[in-house]
Amino acid sequence: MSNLYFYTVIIVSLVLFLIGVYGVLTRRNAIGILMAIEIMFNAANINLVAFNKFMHLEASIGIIFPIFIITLAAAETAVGLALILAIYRNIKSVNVEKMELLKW
Amino acid sequence: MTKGFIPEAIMQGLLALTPEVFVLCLAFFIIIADLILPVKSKRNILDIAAVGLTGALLLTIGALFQQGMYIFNNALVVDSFARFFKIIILVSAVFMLLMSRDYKALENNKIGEYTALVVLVTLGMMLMAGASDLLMLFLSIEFVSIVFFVLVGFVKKDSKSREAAVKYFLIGAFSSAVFVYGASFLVGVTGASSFPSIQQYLIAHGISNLFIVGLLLMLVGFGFKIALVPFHMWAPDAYEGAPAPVTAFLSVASKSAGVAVLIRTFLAILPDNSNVNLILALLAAITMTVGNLVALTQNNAKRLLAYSGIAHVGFIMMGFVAYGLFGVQSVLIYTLAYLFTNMGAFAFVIAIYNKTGSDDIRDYGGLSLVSPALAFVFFVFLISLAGVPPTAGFLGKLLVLGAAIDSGYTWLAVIGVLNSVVSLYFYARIAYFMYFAKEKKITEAIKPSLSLNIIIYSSLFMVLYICLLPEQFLNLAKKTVQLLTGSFHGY
Repeated sequence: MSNLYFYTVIIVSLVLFLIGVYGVLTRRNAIGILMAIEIMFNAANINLVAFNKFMHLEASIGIIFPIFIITLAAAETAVGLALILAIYRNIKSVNVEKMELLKW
Repeated sequence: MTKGFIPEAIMQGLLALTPEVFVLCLAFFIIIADLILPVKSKRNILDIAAVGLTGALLLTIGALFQQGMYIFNNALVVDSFARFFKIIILVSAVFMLLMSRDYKALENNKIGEYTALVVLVTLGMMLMAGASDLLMLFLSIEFVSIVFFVLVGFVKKDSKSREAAVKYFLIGAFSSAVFVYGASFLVGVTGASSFPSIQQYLIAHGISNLFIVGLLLMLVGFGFKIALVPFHMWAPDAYEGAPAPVTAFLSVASKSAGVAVLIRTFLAILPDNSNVNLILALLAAITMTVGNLVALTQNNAKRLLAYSGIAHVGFIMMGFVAYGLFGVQSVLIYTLAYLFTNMGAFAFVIAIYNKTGSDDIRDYGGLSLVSPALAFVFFVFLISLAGVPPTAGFLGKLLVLGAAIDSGYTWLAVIGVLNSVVSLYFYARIAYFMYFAKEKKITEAIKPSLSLNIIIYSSLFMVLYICLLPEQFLNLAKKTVQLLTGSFHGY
Protein backbone atom coordinates (compact mmCIF):
# COMPACT_ATOMS: atom_id res chain seq x y z
CA MET A 1 0.00 0.00 0.00
CA SER A 2 2.67 2.47 0.99
CA ASN A 3 4.64 1.34 -2.03
CA LEU A 4 1.83 2.46 -4.32
CA TYR A 5 1.69 5.77 -2.50
CA PHE A 6 5.45 6.19 -2.98
CA TYR A 7 5.21 5.71 -6.73
CA THR A 8 2.35 8.18 -6.92
CA VAL A 9 4.47 10.83 -5.27
CA ILE A 10 7.43 10.13 -7.53
CA ILE A 11 5.22 10.34 -10.60
CA VAL A 12 3.83 13.66 -9.38
CA SER A 13 7.36 14.99 -9.11
CA LEU A 14 8.24 13.64 -12.56
CA VAL A 15 5.17 15.33 -14.05
CA LEU A 16 6.08 18.59 -12.34
CA PHE A 17 9.60 18.32 -13.74
CA LEU A 18 8.32 17.72 -17.25
CA ILE A 19 5.88 20.63 -16.98
CA GLY A 20 8.86 22.75 -16.02
CA VAL A 21 10.94 21.57 -18.97
CA TYR A 22 8.00 22.13 -21.32
CA GLY A 23 7.54 25.60 -19.93
CA VAL A 24 11.20 26.51 -20.38
CA LEU A 25 11.19 25.27 -23.96
CA THR A 26 7.96 26.92 -25.08
CA ARG A 27 7.69 30.18 -23.12
CA ARG A 28 8.93 33.31 -24.81
CA ASN A 29 8.56 35.50 -21.74
CA ALA A 30 11.66 35.56 -19.54
CA ILE A 31 9.56 35.72 -16.34
CA GLY A 32 7.55 32.73 -17.55
CA ILE A 33 10.76 30.76 -18.09
CA LEU A 34 11.85 31.70 -14.58
CA MET A 35 8.57 30.38 -13.16
CA ALA A 36 8.94 27.12 -15.08
CA ILE A 37 12.43 26.73 -13.61
CA GLU A 38 11.00 27.20 -10.12
CA ILE A 39 8.58 24.34 -10.79
CA MET A 40 11.55 22.15 -11.74
CA PHE A 41 13.30 22.96 -8.47
CA ASN A 42 10.15 21.98 -6.59
CA ALA A 43 10.02 18.67 -8.42
CA ALA A 44 13.45 17.93 -6.98
CA ASN A 45 12.25 18.91 -3.51
CA ILE A 46 9.27 16.54 -3.65
CA ASN A 47 11.55 13.78 -4.90
CA LEU A 48 13.99 14.22 -2.04
CA VAL A 49 11.35 14.29 0.66
CA ALA A 50 9.47 11.32 -0.80
CA PHE A 51 12.58 9.15 -1.07
CA ASN A 52 13.52 10.10 2.46
CA LYS A 53 10.09 9.23 3.84
CA PHE A 54 9.64 5.91 2.06
CA MET A 55 13.12 4.51 1.62
CA HIS A 56 15.54 6.01 4.14
CA LEU A 57 13.52 7.09 7.12
CA GLU A 58 16.61 7.16 9.33
CA ALA A 59 18.51 9.58 7.09
CA SER A 60 17.94 13.30 7.51
CA ILE A 61 19.63 14.47 4.32
CA GLY A 62 16.40 14.26 2.31
CA ILE A 63 14.84 16.85 4.62
CA ILE A 64 17.87 19.13 4.83
CA PHE A 65 18.63 19.22 1.10
CA PRO A 66 15.28 20.84 0.09
CA ILE A 67 15.79 23.67 2.57
CA PHE A 68 19.02 24.59 0.80
CA ILE A 69 17.37 24.23 -2.61
CA ILE A 70 14.52 26.56 -1.63
CA THR A 71 16.96 29.16 -0.30
CA LEU A 72 19.17 28.99 -3.37
CA ALA A 73 16.24 29.13 -5.76
CA ALA A 74 15.14 32.32 -4.03
CA ALA A 75 18.63 33.82 -4.35
CA GLU A 76 18.83 32.83 -7.99
CA THR A 77 15.42 34.35 -8.70
CA ALA A 78 16.44 37.61 -7.03
CA VAL A 79 19.50 37.93 -9.26
CA GLY A 80 17.53 36.81 -12.30
CA LEU A 81 14.76 39.34 -11.79
CA ALA A 82 17.36 42.09 -11.40
CA LEU A 83 18.96 41.09 -14.70
CA ILE A 84 15.60 40.89 -16.47
CA LEU A 85 14.68 44.31 -15.10
CA ALA A 86 17.98 45.68 -16.40
CA ILE A 87 17.33 44.41 -19.91
CA TYR A 88 13.70 45.60 -19.75
CA ARG A 89 15.01 49.14 -19.38
CA ASN A 90 16.94 48.71 -22.63
CA ILE A 91 14.57 46.95 -24.98
CA LYS A 92 11.23 47.63 -23.22
CA SER A 93 10.35 43.98 -23.39
CA VAL A 94 10.98 40.72 -21.55
CA ASN A 95 10.46 38.60 -24.63
CA VAL A 96 13.54 36.44 -25.19
CA GLU A 97 13.06 36.54 -28.96
CA LYS A 98 13.70 40.28 -28.88
CA MET A 99 17.14 39.67 -27.36
CA GLU A 100 18.97 39.32 -30.62
CA LEU A 101 22.10 41.45 -30.39
CA LEU A 102 24.22 38.36 -29.90
CA LYS A 103 23.87 35.69 -32.54
CA TRP A 104 26.00 32.86 -33.82
CA MET B 1 36.87 16.06 23.49
CA THR B 2 36.50 19.73 22.81
CA LYS B 3 39.46 21.78 23.83
CA GLY B 4 38.76 25.46 24.14
CA PHE B 5 36.14 27.36 22.23
CA ILE B 6 36.16 25.67 18.83
CA PRO B 7 35.71 21.89 18.55
CA GLU B 8 38.78 20.05 17.33
CA ALA B 9 37.25 18.67 14.13
CA ILE B 10 36.17 22.13 12.97
CA MET B 11 39.55 23.59 13.87
CA GLN B 12 41.28 20.90 11.83
CA GLY B 13 39.01 21.63 8.88
CA LEU B 14 39.65 25.34 9.05
CA LEU B 15 43.40 24.72 9.18
CA ALA B 16 43.20 22.56 6.06
CA LEU B 17 41.20 25.33 4.38
CA THR B 18 43.64 28.13 5.26
CA PRO B 19 43.72 29.52 1.68
CA GLU B 20 39.92 29.62 1.48
CA VAL B 21 39.59 31.33 4.85
CA PHE B 22 42.22 33.80 3.71
CA VAL B 23 40.33 34.54 0.49
CA LEU B 24 37.07 35.02 2.43
CA CYS B 25 38.75 37.53 4.79
CA LEU B 26 40.19 39.28 1.73
CA ALA B 27 36.70 39.64 0.26
CA PHE B 28 35.39 41.32 3.44
CA PHE B 29 38.48 43.50 3.57
CA ILE B 30 37.82 44.65 0.01
CA ILE B 31 34.20 45.50 0.76
CA ILE B 32 35.37 47.67 3.66
CA ALA B 33 38.17 49.23 1.59
CA ASP B 34 35.58 50.10 -1.06
CA LEU B 35 33.65 52.09 1.53
CA ILE B 36 36.70 53.96 2.79
CA LEU B 37 38.75 54.77 -0.31
CA PRO B 38 37.94 57.85 -2.41
CA VAL B 39 36.71 57.26 -5.97
CA LYS B 40 39.99 58.36 -7.53
CA SER B 41 42.08 55.66 -5.89
CA LYS B 42 39.56 52.84 -6.27
CA ARG B 43 41.64 51.15 -8.95
CA ASN B 44 44.09 50.30 -6.17
CA ILE B 45 41.55 47.84 -4.79
CA LEU B 46 42.36 45.62 -7.76
CA ASP B 47 46.02 45.62 -6.73
CA ILE B 48 45.15 44.78 -3.12
CA ALA B 49 43.03 41.87 -4.29
CA ALA B 50 45.72 40.65 -6.68
CA VAL B 51 48.34 40.70 -3.93
CA GLY B 52 45.99 38.95 -1.52
CA LEU B 53 45.13 36.22 -3.99
CA THR B 54 48.83 35.75 -4.74
CA GLY B 55 49.26 35.13 -1.01
CA ALA B 56 46.51 32.48 -1.12
CA LEU B 57 48.20 31.01 -4.18
CA LEU B 58 51.52 30.67 -2.34
CA LEU B 59 49.74 29.06 0.62
CA THR B 60 48.15 26.52 -1.72
CA ILE B 61 51.39 25.78 -3.58
CA GLY B 62 53.20 25.29 -0.27
CA ALA B 63 50.71 22.63 0.81
CA LEU B 64 50.38 20.96 -2.60
CA PHE B 65 51.58 17.49 -1.69
CA GLN B 66 50.17 17.21 1.81
CA GLN B 67 48.19 14.06 2.50
CA GLY B 68 44.57 14.36 1.41
CA MET B 69 41.78 14.25 3.98
CA TYR B 70 38.05 14.72 4.35
CA ILE B 71 36.87 17.60 6.49
CA PHE B 72 33.55 18.91 7.85
CA ASN B 73 31.78 15.55 7.93
CA ASN B 74 33.02 14.58 4.46
CA ALA B 75 31.56 17.74 2.92
CA LEU B 76 34.92 18.75 1.49
CA VAL B 77 38.06 16.93 0.57
CA VAL B 78 41.43 18.62 0.60
CA ASP B 79 43.96 16.72 -1.50
CA SER B 80 46.58 17.44 -4.15
CA PHE B 81 44.04 17.10 -6.94
CA ALA B 82 41.85 19.82 -5.43
CA ARG B 83 44.89 21.97 -4.69
CA PHE B 84 46.13 21.63 -8.27
CA PHE B 85 42.87 23.06 -9.57
CA LYS B 86 42.85 25.71 -6.84
CA ILE B 87 46.25 26.83 -8.12
CA ILE B 88 44.88 27.12 -11.65
CA ILE B 89 41.86 29.07 -10.39
CA LEU B 90 43.98 31.42 -8.28
CA VAL B 91 46.50 32.08 -11.06
CA SER B 92 43.71 32.96 -13.47
CA ALA B 93 42.05 35.15 -10.82
CA VAL B 94 45.28 37.10 -10.33
CA PHE B 95 45.72 37.47 -14.10
CA MET B 96 42.12 38.53 -14.43
CA LEU B 97 42.50 41.27 -11.80
CA LEU B 98 45.64 42.52 -13.55
CA MET B 99 43.77 42.61 -16.87
CA SER B 100 40.92 44.58 -15.29
CA ARG B 101 43.27 47.34 -14.15
CA ASP B 102 43.15 49.18 -17.42
CA TYR B 103 40.08 47.72 -19.04
CA LYS B 104 38.30 50.84 -20.16
CA ALA B 105 34.69 49.72 -19.92
CA LEU B 106 34.85 49.44 -16.13
CA GLU B 107 33.89 52.61 -14.30
CA ASN B 108 35.94 53.75 -11.34
CA ASN B 109 33.08 53.86 -8.85
CA LYS B 110 32.10 50.24 -9.57
CA ILE B 111 35.57 48.77 -9.10
CA GLY B 112 35.05 47.92 -5.43
CA GLU B 113 31.94 45.83 -6.05
CA TYR B 114 33.52 44.22 -9.06
CA THR B 115 36.66 43.17 -7.16
CA ALA B 116 34.68 41.84 -4.21
CA LEU B 117 32.58 39.72 -6.57
CA VAL B 118 35.69 38.39 -8.31
CA VAL B 119 37.30 37.41 -5.00
CA LEU B 120 34.09 35.75 -3.80
CA VAL B 121 33.66 33.79 -7.01
CA THR B 122 37.27 32.64 -6.65
CA LEU B 123 36.36 31.33 -3.21
CA GLY B 124 33.33 29.57 -4.69
CA MET B 125 35.42 27.85 -7.33
CA MET B 126 38.01 26.78 -4.76
CA LEU B 127 35.22 25.14 -2.77
CA MET B 128 33.92 23.57 -5.96
CA ALA B 129 37.28 21.96 -6.63
CA GLY B 130 37.16 20.29 -3.20
CA ALA B 131 33.47 19.41 -2.95
CA SER B 132 32.86 15.80 -2.00
CA ASP B 133 29.22 15.92 -1.03
CA LEU B 134 26.25 16.39 -3.35
CA LEU B 135 24.87 19.19 -1.19
CA MET B 136 28.23 20.98 -1.11
CA LEU B 137 28.59 20.39 -4.83
CA PHE B 138 25.21 21.95 -5.55
CA LEU B 139 25.83 24.90 -3.24
CA SER B 140 29.27 25.68 -4.63
CA ILE B 141 28.17 25.35 -8.26
CA GLU B 142 25.25 27.69 -7.61
CA PHE B 143 27.49 30.09 -5.71
CA VAL B 144 29.80 30.34 -8.70
CA SER B 145 26.98 30.54 -11.26
CA ILE B 146 25.03 33.27 -9.48
CA VAL B 147 28.08 35.48 -9.03
CA PHE B 148 29.06 34.97 -12.65
CA PHE B 149 25.57 35.99 -13.83
CA VAL B 150 26.21 39.34 -12.17
CA LEU B 151 29.78 39.65 -13.44
CA VAL B 152 28.78 38.92 -17.04
CA GLY B 153 26.18 41.69 -16.92
CA PHE B 154 28.43 44.05 -15.06
CA VAL B 155 28.85 46.77 -17.69
CA LYS B 156 25.44 48.38 -17.38
CA LYS B 157 25.88 50.82 -20.24
CA ASP B 158 26.54 48.03 -22.70
CA SER B 159 23.29 46.40 -23.80
CA LYS B 160 25.22 43.41 -25.14
CA SER B 161 26.48 42.75 -21.63
CA ARG B 162 22.95 42.78 -20.21
CA GLU B 163 21.61 40.52 -22.89
CA ALA B 164 24.47 38.08 -22.37
CA ALA B 165 23.74 38.03 -18.64
CA VAL B 166 20.04 37.27 -19.15
CA LYS B 167 20.77 34.45 -21.59
CA TYR B 168 23.47 33.03 -19.33
CA PHE B 169 21.11 33.25 -16.38
CA LEU B 170 18.17 31.52 -18.05
CA ILE B 171 20.25 28.61 -19.34
CA GLY B 172 22.22 28.42 -16.10
CA ALA B 173 19.14 28.29 -13.88
CA PHE B 174 17.55 25.67 -16.13
CA SER B 175 20.59 23.42 -16.07
CA SER B 176 21.00 23.75 -12.32
CA ALA B 177 17.36 22.71 -11.90
CA VAL B 178 18.02 19.61 -14.02
CA PHE B 179 21.20 19.01 -12.04
CA VAL B 180 19.44 19.10 -8.69
CA TYR B 181 16.64 16.86 -9.96
CA GLY B 182 19.31 14.31 -10.90
CA ALA B 183 21.04 14.74 -7.56
CA SER B 184 17.71 14.07 -5.82
CA PHE B 185 17.68 10.59 -7.38
CA LEU B 186 21.21 9.91 -6.16
CA VAL B 187 20.39 11.05 -2.66
CA GLY B 188 17.09 9.18 -2.78
CA VAL B 189 18.55 5.87 -3.87
CA THR B 190 21.51 5.88 -1.52
CA GLY B 191 20.07 7.83 1.40
CA ALA B 192 23.34 9.71 1.69
CA SER B 193 24.91 12.72 0.08
CA SER B 194 28.63 12.50 0.78
CA PHE B 195 30.77 10.62 -1.72
CA PRO B 196 32.30 8.18 0.82
CA SER B 197 28.84 7.15 2.06
CA ILE B 198 27.54 6.78 -1.50
CA GLN B 199 30.58 4.63 -2.29
CA GLN B 200 29.85 2.41 0.70
CA TYR B 201 26.22 2.05 -0.36
CA LEU B 202 27.22 1.12 -3.91
CA ILE B 203 29.73 -1.47 -2.70
CA ALA B 204 27.04 -3.05 -0.52
CA HIS B 205 24.01 -2.82 -2.85
CA GLY B 206 25.37 -2.41 -6.35
CA ILE B 207 24.34 0.19 -8.87
CA SER B 208 20.72 0.69 -9.94
CA ASN B 209 19.21 2.17 -13.09
CA LEU B 210 17.69 5.04 -11.18
CA PHE B 211 21.17 5.92 -9.97
CA ILE B 212 22.50 6.07 -13.54
CA VAL B 213 19.54 8.22 -14.62
CA GLY B 214 20.31 10.63 -11.80
CA LEU B 215 23.96 10.75 -12.74
CA LEU B 216 23.15 11.49 -16.38
CA LEU B 217 20.80 14.31 -15.35
CA MET B 218 23.61 15.68 -13.21
CA LEU B 219 25.82 15.59 -16.28
CA VAL B 220 23.60 18.36 -17.70
CA GLY B 221 24.66 20.60 -14.83
CA PHE B 222 28.32 19.76 -15.27
CA GLY B 223 28.01 20.09 -19.03
CA PHE B 224 26.63 23.59 -18.62
CA LYS B 225 29.48 24.56 -16.33
CA ILE B 226 32.20 23.41 -18.75
CA ALA B 227 30.23 24.21 -21.96
CA LEU B 228 29.92 20.68 -23.28
CA VAL B 229 28.13 20.68 -26.59
CA PRO B 230 24.42 20.16 -26.18
CA PHE B 231 24.60 22.58 -23.23
CA HIS B 232 27.03 25.11 -24.70
CA MET B 233 24.55 27.58 -26.15
CA TRP B 234 25.22 30.20 -23.49
CA ALA B 235 28.99 30.25 -23.93
CA PRO B 236 29.46 32.28 -27.14
CA ASP B 237 26.86 34.86 -26.14
CA ALA B 238 28.12 35.23 -22.58
CA TYR B 239 31.72 35.42 -23.77
CA GLU B 240 31.01 38.06 -26.35
CA GLY B 241 28.83 40.20 -24.12
CA ALA B 242 30.82 40.03 -20.90
CA PRO B 243 33.67 42.44 -20.15
CA ALA B 244 36.82 40.86 -21.61
CA PRO B 245 38.57 40.14 -18.26
CA VAL B 246 35.43 38.33 -17.07
CA THR B 247 35.39 36.37 -20.32
CA ALA B 248 38.97 35.26 -19.75
CA PHE B 249 38.14 34.29 -16.18
CA LEU B 250 34.97 32.48 -17.20
CA SER B 251 36.73 30.54 -19.91
CA VAL B 252 39.63 29.38 -17.77
CA ALA B 253 38.73 29.29 -14.08
CA SER B 254 35.06 28.37 -14.24
CA LYS B 255 35.82 25.70 -16.80
CA SER B 256 38.70 24.17 -14.80
CA ALA B 257 36.56 24.13 -11.66
CA GLY B 258 33.83 22.37 -13.63
CA VAL B 259 36.31 19.82 -14.96
CA ALA B 260 37.57 19.25 -11.41
CA VAL B 261 34.12 18.47 -9.96
CA LEU B 262 33.16 16.40 -12.97
CA ILE B 263 36.25 14.22 -12.65
CA ARG B 264 35.97 13.88 -8.90
CA THR B 265 32.29 13.02 -8.97
CA PHE B 266 32.62 10.40 -11.66
CA LEU B 267 35.74 8.86 -10.12
CA ALA B 268 34.16 8.79 -6.67
CA ILE B 269 30.66 7.48 -7.32
CA LEU B 270 30.78 5.50 -10.54
CA PRO B 271 32.29 2.05 -10.04
CA ASP B 272 31.68 0.59 -13.49
CA ASN B 273 32.29 3.27 -16.06
CA SER B 274 31.93 1.46 -19.38
CA ASN B 275 28.41 2.55 -20.45
CA VAL B 276 28.49 6.07 -19.11
CA ASN B 277 31.97 6.39 -20.58
CA LEU B 278 30.68 5.74 -24.06
CA ILE B 279 28.20 8.60 -23.65
CA LEU B 280 31.02 10.85 -22.43
CA ALA B 281 33.17 9.82 -25.40
CA LEU B 282 30.38 10.69 -27.83
CA LEU B 283 29.84 14.04 -26.11
CA ALA B 284 33.58 14.73 -26.34
CA ALA B 285 33.60 13.98 -30.06
CA ILE B 286 30.54 16.17 -30.75
CA THR B 287 31.92 18.97 -28.57
CA MET B 288 35.24 19.08 -30.40
CA THR B 289 33.64 18.98 -33.83
CA VAL B 290 30.92 21.56 -33.23
CA GLY B 291 33.30 23.93 -31.42
CA ASN B 292 35.86 23.84 -34.20
CA LEU B 293 33.44 23.96 -37.13
CA VAL B 294 31.47 26.92 -35.83
CA ALA B 295 34.68 28.75 -34.93
CA LEU B 296 35.65 28.72 -38.62
CA THR B 297 33.22 31.51 -39.47
CA GLN B 298 33.65 33.77 -36.44
CA ASN B 299 34.98 37.29 -36.76
CA ASN B 300 34.65 38.52 -33.20
CA ALA B 301 37.80 37.58 -31.30
CA LYS B 302 35.98 36.86 -28.03
CA ARG B 303 33.37 34.74 -29.76
CA LEU B 304 36.05 32.87 -31.66
CA LEU B 305 37.90 32.14 -28.44
CA ALA B 306 34.59 30.97 -26.94
CA TYR B 307 34.14 28.36 -29.65
CA SER B 308 37.79 27.42 -29.44
CA GLY B 309 37.25 27.00 -25.68
CA ILE B 310 34.35 24.65 -26.38
CA ALA B 311 36.60 22.62 -28.66
CA HIS B 312 39.26 22.50 -25.93
CA VAL B 313 36.70 21.12 -23.49
CA GLY B 314 36.15 18.32 -25.99
CA PHE B 315 39.85 17.50 -25.79
CA ILE B 316 39.82 17.63 -22.00
CA MET B 317 36.87 15.23 -21.96
CA MET B 318 38.79 12.94 -24.30
CA GLY B 319 41.53 12.65 -21.69
CA PHE B 320 38.95 12.06 -18.99
CA VAL B 321 37.18 9.36 -20.98
CA ALA B 322 40.48 7.47 -20.99
CA TYR B 323 40.24 7.30 -17.18
CA GLY B 324 43.09 5.84 -15.20
CA LEU B 325 46.31 7.39 -14.05
CA PHE B 326 47.40 8.46 -17.52
CA GLY B 327 44.04 9.87 -18.52
CA VAL B 328 43.58 12.13 -15.50
CA GLN B 329 47.23 13.13 -15.68
CA SER B 330 46.80 14.24 -19.30
CA VAL B 331 43.75 16.28 -18.28
CA LEU B 332 45.81 18.09 -15.63
CA ILE B 333 48.58 18.98 -18.09
CA TYR B 334 46.05 20.04 -20.71
CA THR B 335 44.27 22.31 -18.24
CA LEU B 336 47.55 23.87 -17.18
CA ALA B 337 48.52 24.52 -20.79
CA TYR B 338 45.05 25.90 -21.55
CA LEU B 339 45.30 28.28 -18.60
CA PHE B 340 48.45 30.03 -19.78
CA THR B 341 47.66 29.95 -23.48
CA ASN B 342 44.17 31.33 -23.12
CA MET B 343 45.13 33.98 -20.60
CA GLY B 344 47.90 35.16 -22.93
CA ALA B 345 45.54 35.30 -25.89
CA PHE B 346 42.92 37.24 -23.94
CA ALA B 347 45.56 39.69 -22.71
CA PHE B 348 46.22 40.46 -26.39
CA VAL B 349 42.55 40.85 -27.19
CA ILE B 350 42.29 43.36 -24.33
CA ALA B 351 45.46 45.22 -25.32
CA ILE B 352 44.15 45.64 -28.86
CA TYR B 353 40.66 46.54 -27.63
CA ASN B 354 42.09 49.24 -25.38
CA LYS B 355 43.84 50.73 -28.40
CA THR B 356 41.25 50.39 -31.16
CA GLY B 357 37.98 49.72 -29.30
CA SER B 358 37.24 46.75 -31.52
CA ASP B 359 37.15 42.99 -30.97
CA ASP B 360 36.86 42.19 -34.66
CA ILE B 361 39.75 40.13 -35.99
CA ARG B 362 39.47 41.86 -39.36
CA ASP B 363 40.59 45.02 -37.59
CA TYR B 364 43.87 43.39 -36.56
CA GLY B 365 45.45 44.23 -39.93
CA GLY B 366 48.83 45.94 -39.76
CA LEU B 367 49.66 44.70 -36.28
CA SER B 368 52.80 42.97 -37.53
CA LEU B 369 54.12 46.19 -39.10
CA VAL B 370 53.68 48.51 -36.13
CA SER B 371 54.63 46.11 -33.35
CA PRO B 372 56.28 43.01 -34.84
CA ALA B 373 57.49 41.55 -31.53
CA LEU B 374 53.99 41.59 -30.03
CA ALA B 375 52.49 40.12 -33.17
CA PHE B 376 54.96 37.26 -32.97
CA VAL B 377 54.14 36.57 -29.31
CA PHE B 378 50.43 36.54 -30.19
CA PHE B 379 51.28 34.10 -32.96
CA VAL B 380 52.96 31.80 -30.42
CA PHE B 381 49.78 31.77 -28.32
CA LEU B 382 47.70 31.01 -31.40
CA ILE B 383 49.81 28.02 -32.38
CA SER B 384 49.69 26.84 -28.79
CA LEU B 385 45.89 26.96 -28.97
CA ALA B 386 46.08 25.00 -32.19
CA GLY B 387 48.50 22.51 -30.63
CA VAL B 388 51.62 22.99 -32.72
CA PRO B 389 55.05 22.33 -31.20
CA PRO B 390 57.03 23.75 -29.42
CA THR B 391 54.21 25.01 -27.21
CA ALA B 392 52.33 23.80 -24.18
CA GLY B 393 49.19 23.20 -26.23
CA PHE B 394 51.08 20.61 -28.22
CA LEU B 395 52.16 18.67 -25.14
CA GLY B 396 48.61 18.75 -23.79
CA LYS B 397 47.13 17.45 -27.03
CA LEU B 398 49.81 14.79 -27.34
CA LEU B 399 49.10 13.44 -23.87
CA VAL B 400 45.34 13.52 -24.28
CA LEU B 401 45.51 11.71 -27.62
CA GLY B 402 47.98 9.20 -26.16
CA ALA B 403 45.67 8.52 -23.22
CA ALA B 404 42.70 7.98 -25.54
CA ILE B 405 44.60 5.51 -27.73
CA ASP B 406 46.00 3.81 -24.66
CA SER B 407 42.54 2.98 -23.38
CA GLY B 408 41.17 1.81 -26.70
CA TYR B 409 39.34 4.92 -27.91
CA THR B 410 41.22 5.07 -31.20
CA TRP B 411 38.19 6.44 -33.09
CA LEU B 412 38.01 9.31 -30.63
CA ALA B 413 41.71 10.04 -31.08
CA VAL B 414 41.25 10.10 -34.87
CA ILE B 415 38.42 12.62 -34.52
CA GLY B 416 40.68 14.61 -32.22
CA VAL B 417 43.50 14.75 -34.75
CA LEU B 418 41.12 15.74 -37.56
CA ASN B 419 39.74 18.49 -35.34
CA SER B 420 43.24 19.75 -34.64
CA VAL B 421 43.76 20.18 -38.36
CA VAL B 422 40.47 22.08 -38.72
CA SER B 423 41.32 24.31 -35.78
CA LEU B 424 44.61 25.26 -37.38
CA TYR B 425 42.63 27.08 -40.07
CA PHE B 426 40.84 29.60 -37.88
CA TYR B 427 43.83 30.29 -35.66
CA ALA B 428 45.89 30.85 -38.78
CA ARG B 429 43.14 33.17 -40.02
CA ILE B 430 43.83 35.53 -37.12
CA ALA B 431 47.54 35.37 -37.93
CA TYR B 432 46.71 36.04 -41.57
CA PHE B 433 44.88 39.26 -40.71
CA MET B 434 47.76 40.26 -38.43
CA TYR B 435 50.45 39.71 -41.01
CA PHE B 436 49.01 39.91 -44.52
CA ALA B 437 45.76 41.89 -44.45
CA LYS B 438 45.68 44.57 -47.12
CA GLU B 439 43.73 47.02 -45.01
CA LYS B 440 46.05 48.29 -42.28
CA LYS B 441 43.62 49.24 -39.54
CA ILE B 442 46.23 49.48 -36.79
CA THR B 443 48.59 52.31 -37.58
CA GLU B 444 50.21 53.08 -34.23
CA ALA B 445 52.35 50.76 -32.15
CA ILE B 446 50.41 48.89 -29.49
CA LYS B 447 51.92 49.40 -26.07
CA PRO B 448 50.32 47.10 -23.51
CA SER B 449 50.37 48.46 -19.97
CA LEU B 450 52.71 47.00 -17.38
CA SER B 451 50.09 44.63 -15.96
CA LEU B 452 49.19 43.27 -19.39
CA ASN B 453 52.88 42.85 -20.17
CA ILE B 454 53.33 40.82 -16.99
CA ILE B 455 50.52 38.49 -18.09
CA ILE B 456 51.71 38.22 -21.67
CA TYR B 457 55.34 37.47 -20.91
CA SER B 458 54.80 35.19 -17.92
CA SER B 459 52.25 33.23 -19.97
CA LEU B 460 54.68 33.07 -22.89
CA PHE B 461 57.39 31.80 -20.57
CA MET B 462 55.13 29.09 -19.15
CA VAL B 463 53.79 28.06 -22.56
CA LEU B 464 57.30 27.43 -23.84
CA TYR B 465 58.62 26.06 -20.55
CA ILE B 466 55.89 23.43 -20.19
CA CYS B 467 56.64 22.05 -23.62
CA LEU B 468 60.43 22.24 -23.64
CA LEU B 469 61.02 20.90 -20.12
CA PRO B 470 57.89 18.82 -19.51
CA GLU B 471 59.44 16.33 -17.11
CA GLN B 472 58.71 18.12 -13.85
CA PHE B 473 55.18 18.97 -14.90
CA LEU B 474 54.55 15.36 -15.81
CA ASN B 475 55.90 14.27 -12.44
CA LEU B 476 53.80 16.87 -10.69
CA ALA B 477 50.66 15.70 -12.48
CA LYS B 478 51.45 12.06 -11.77
CA LYS B 479 52.02 12.67 -8.10
CA THR B 480 48.85 14.75 -7.92
CA VAL B 481 46.76 11.95 -9.40
CA GLN B 482 48.37 9.36 -7.14
CA LEU B 483 47.41 11.41 -4.09
CA LEU B 484 43.79 11.74 -5.26
CA THR B 485 41.58 10.85 -2.31
CA GLY B 486 38.34 8.95 -2.47
CA SER B 487 38.48 7.40 -5.93
CA PHE B 488 36.76 4.09 -6.52
CA HIS B 489 39.68 2.80 -8.49
CA GLY B 490 42.65 3.76 -6.38
CA TYR B 491 45.78 4.68 -8.28
